Amino acid sequence: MNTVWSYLIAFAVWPGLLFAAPLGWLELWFMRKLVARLQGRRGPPFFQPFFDFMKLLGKQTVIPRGVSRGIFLALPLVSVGAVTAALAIVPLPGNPVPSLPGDVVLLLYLMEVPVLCEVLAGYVSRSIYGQVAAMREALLSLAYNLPFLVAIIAMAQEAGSFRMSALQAAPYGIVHLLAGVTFLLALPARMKLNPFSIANAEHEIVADSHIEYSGPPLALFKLSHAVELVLLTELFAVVFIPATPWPLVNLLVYLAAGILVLGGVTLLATATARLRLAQAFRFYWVWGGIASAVTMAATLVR
Amino acid sequence: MPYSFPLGPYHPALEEPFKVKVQCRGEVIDSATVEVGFSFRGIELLAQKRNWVEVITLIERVCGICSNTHAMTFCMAAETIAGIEIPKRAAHIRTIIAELERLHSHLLWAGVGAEDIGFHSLFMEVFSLRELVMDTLEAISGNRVNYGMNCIGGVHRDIPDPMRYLPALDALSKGLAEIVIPTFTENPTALARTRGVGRLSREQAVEWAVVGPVARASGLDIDVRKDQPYLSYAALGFESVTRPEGDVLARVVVRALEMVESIRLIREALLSLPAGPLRATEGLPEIPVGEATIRTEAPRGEAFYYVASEGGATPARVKIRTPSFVNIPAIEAMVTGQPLADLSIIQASVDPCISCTDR
Amino acid sequence: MAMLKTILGNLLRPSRTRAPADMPDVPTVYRGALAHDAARCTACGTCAFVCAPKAISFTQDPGVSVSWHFFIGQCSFCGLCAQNCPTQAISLDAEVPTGMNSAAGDGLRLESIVRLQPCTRCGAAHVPLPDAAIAALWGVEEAERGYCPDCRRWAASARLRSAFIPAAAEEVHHER
Repeated sequence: MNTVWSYLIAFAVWPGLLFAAPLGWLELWFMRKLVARLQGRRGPPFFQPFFDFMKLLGKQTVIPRGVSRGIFLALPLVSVGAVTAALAIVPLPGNPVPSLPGDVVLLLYLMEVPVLCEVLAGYVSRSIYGQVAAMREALLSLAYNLPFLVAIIAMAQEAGSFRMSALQAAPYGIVHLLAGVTFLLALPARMKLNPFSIANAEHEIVADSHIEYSGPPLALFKLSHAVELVLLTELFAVVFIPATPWPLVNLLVYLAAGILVLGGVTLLATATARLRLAQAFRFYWVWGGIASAVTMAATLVR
Repeated sequence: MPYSFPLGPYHPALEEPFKVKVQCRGEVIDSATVEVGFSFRGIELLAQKRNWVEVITLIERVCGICSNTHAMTFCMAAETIAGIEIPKRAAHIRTIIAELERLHSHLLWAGVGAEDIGFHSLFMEVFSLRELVMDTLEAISGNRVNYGMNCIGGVHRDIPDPMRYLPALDALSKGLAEIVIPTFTENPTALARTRGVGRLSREQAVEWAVVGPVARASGLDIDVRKDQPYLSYAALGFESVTRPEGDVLARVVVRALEMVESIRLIREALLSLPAGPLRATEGLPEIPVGEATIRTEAPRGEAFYYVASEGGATPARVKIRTPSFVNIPAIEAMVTGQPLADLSIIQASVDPCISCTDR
Repeated sequence: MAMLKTILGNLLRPSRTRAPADMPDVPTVYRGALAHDAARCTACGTCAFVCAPKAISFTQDPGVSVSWHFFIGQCSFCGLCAQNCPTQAISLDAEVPTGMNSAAGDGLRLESIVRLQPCTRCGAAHVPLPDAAIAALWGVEEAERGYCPDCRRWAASARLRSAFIPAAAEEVHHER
């Protein structure tokens, strides 16, 4: 009973939805504000991502003709559920869930679910724009997952365990640095930011793969994206930033590191144009491949 | 599996409604068809029902961006029929407005092009530069678009204090030299999206009969301002810009260097503004029987006007052939074999003006 | 990296977005609100002739007045009416026009009534010329000031006639 409760709390309260959603909105706002300031604009007010979410909740849901209602509505729910469950596994300070052996693998699988949901959302939409977006999203995930997975697996190799707490507690070394860089390499594409935002290129395919979504289901997809931002930044912080013995200090360091990473990624996005799919793919298989190879070599050499 | 992908008639990549329908195989475009006619207004017919003064206001609304070119070319045609020679000062003022309009059009295009390759920051910078041009035009003519400067026989408005506009020109050339041109030609991601994309060889350019910056980017040195100087271009010493590559990058570079040349022309015209009257005639114009064809270099290429008069209160025929009308079909040649992702930047690179094309 | 330099520079500078209160200066030549001065209008119709969208029209109340009408919904602010008005009765001011049109057609409509005056000679109702024009054409003290166009024509021909045939001048005076 106690374990079930701790899982529920981890999923719903901390580090789950109740905290992750506002934190995700805060991070979204930070990115939007930073982009605006970099472009010499004012930027949105602090509560804007929350307003957007609430406004979408109040809108009508339109389901395209000929689309299966069940799968159309289930996809955003599955996406939010998976990304929150993934966050519940991350050993942030105060997380009530104990670290289990092999939870790294579970985390990696759960993190793929939102991507899959978006691809499916594009394919079931019966819109040519959504289908092209889904195709691009699927192909791009093949590209950025190389450095992304290698970064985490290299850390697991380094720590000698597929347990999150072991990854967190691994003694700091050169592998941390190399794997951290490899992870950061994959981050812009995972967050669907420039220069790797071809899957949501509004000037070619009007929008991303949720083009036919509206109202609350779209709000859930946006929420899923916000929680995913928290998940990615906190995962980076937990795995690659050395932990201190004081949980509160850890938490502050993790949050600061998350904001810092977002700032860097946003700066890159603001200073670049959008690469074509083939170019993004080549970038990840060449540079991501080289970074992955160096990282893996470093873990093996030791 | 081949599929067809419609870009337009209403699409975020387009400012105006037209349609490029492409057949794709994977991410590669097999073939394309271009459809126009979504904003047809019948201006050529309406022009036959308006008197010689009203028709200038009407013709000015052929296009929202190169409005002055149309009004100016029409007035030049009417002046040719009536045998009016406009005063030197009026010719200079017309040149200044035409070149300011070219700056405005090319900057607008650069912003849209940046947006089409997903470069929002560059879009913001370009459009804040464009604001300088718009402010200058507003300060001279009293309006940001549809300047209403031209009348048959000269210009309506004077430029009483030409030195006032030089600081804006300085700021503009600084912005072009420090931000816009380096970013388009040096930023690796921007280059990756423009270099070698949407190639139109010199032979194809001749075959599709393209004009303006598109032709000049394919190595065809055609520019009415050089080939058949009108207004003050001969006096100011115009030099055309050409590139041999024929890709999107070449079109960007041609437009960017044309902007630099335009700034030089405006500066020289402002500094050497001759004294004299603004109009050669007084009162309402009377156009005798006759006909005239006039070519001018609009921002997008050669604009062609045929005007016929039967001596009445209205023109007997106004035929308008705009540069976009000949440039748009060449999109079909440019996109074939290119990735779908480049469709929007390739169609944008010819700077299609649909209001002009549909008239 | 020109763009990186630019965007980092933007971060240090204040925002370029302008608030609604921070309106840019309106240039003095701005073609804004249209104004009509009935005292200078001769109801010659040039403005209606050059107005391409037909925003200006005239109506008549025979013998009493001529009304000049303007509807902002059709105006394109080209300024041709002001440019072509022979007596400068129309002006486009550097103010933002009020009462722009909506789909309901509730935009600003101006009406300006030009009162007809009886001719001081024959009594026919006519549009008086503006004072400045009269002073330039006939001088301040001239009796022909209040004449209608017909009587002005008559007076002009009478002057011609008396210049050629001095004896006829007597007849003219008698006739009066």
